[in-house]
Amino acid sequence: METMLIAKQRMLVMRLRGEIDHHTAGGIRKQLERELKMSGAVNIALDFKEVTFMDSSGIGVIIGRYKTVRALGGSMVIYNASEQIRRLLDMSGIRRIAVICSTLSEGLNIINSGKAIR
Amino acid sequence: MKNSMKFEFPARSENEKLARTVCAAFVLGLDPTIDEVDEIKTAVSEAVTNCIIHGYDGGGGMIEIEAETDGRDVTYIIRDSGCGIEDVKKAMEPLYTGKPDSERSGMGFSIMEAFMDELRVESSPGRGTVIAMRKRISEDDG
Ligand SMILES: Nc1ncnc2c1ncn2[C@@H]1O[C@H](COP(=O)(O)OP(=O)(O)OP(=O)(O)O)[C@@H](O)[C@H]1O
Ligand SMILES: [Mg+2]
Repeated sequence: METMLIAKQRMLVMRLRGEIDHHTAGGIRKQLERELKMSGAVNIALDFKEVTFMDSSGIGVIIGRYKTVRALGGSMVIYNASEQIRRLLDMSGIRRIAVICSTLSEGLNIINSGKAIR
Repeated sequence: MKNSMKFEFPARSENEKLARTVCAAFVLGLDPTIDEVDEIKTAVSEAVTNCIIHGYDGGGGMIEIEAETDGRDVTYIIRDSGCGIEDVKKAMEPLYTGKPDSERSGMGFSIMEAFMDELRVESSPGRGTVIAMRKRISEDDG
């Protein structure tokens, strides 16, 4: 998956694509962990714009990466999620551990204001 | 309208997409909403993933899916011949997972219950698990 680093905020942004299930979750987990280490980022932002399907395996990846960034003193941002995915995020309590918003800049503002959930 | 289908595939993760896509395609004749199709896909994906991860513990085996429509009701029956579930009631509790070290959130059964109208789980330890899920597809008012 395509990623970019916003150095100022030490934020790793990943553009997720396609279907997130048990088959694809492992690759996403490995890439995020590897790039977090390499880049020195402490925050993760996940762009769900191109995600067409997600099940509980995606929830597992989000919770797992939340634990990683929390240990680094960072936060997690999720943006551009469809109705279906938002419903899943709500059901599984992700709203309590991540910032869920519509755009990346909204997420950055919340991180900058220090109001992000840790 | 009555219709039925039955198919079988190896319990490998690359077949999760195949299973949910076939199950979603099966109801298209009833003109479901996009949300209803999404809900079916997600519930089937949960059941099939559970067979692979828990039933066969990643070791492989066969998964069988039977589906049936009766009027506007669709039922999916998903079967594995894996390890089975000792305590079904406990397994179905929200957030319960038998694999806390594998990034599982324990949400699978809750999602199946929320997205389908009826969920039944039958399991015998050592023999396997059967998941039966029914959903009523809303009347097309278009
Ligand atoms: N087909 C099955 N065979 C054996 N055990 C199962 C099966 N399906 C579910 N279980 C048991 O029930 C538990 C709960 O299942 P559920 O799908 O709700 O959560 P999970 O799979 O652990 O996590 P998640 O679905 O959120 O990734 C599982 O952890 C497992 O112990
Ligand atoms: Mg599950």
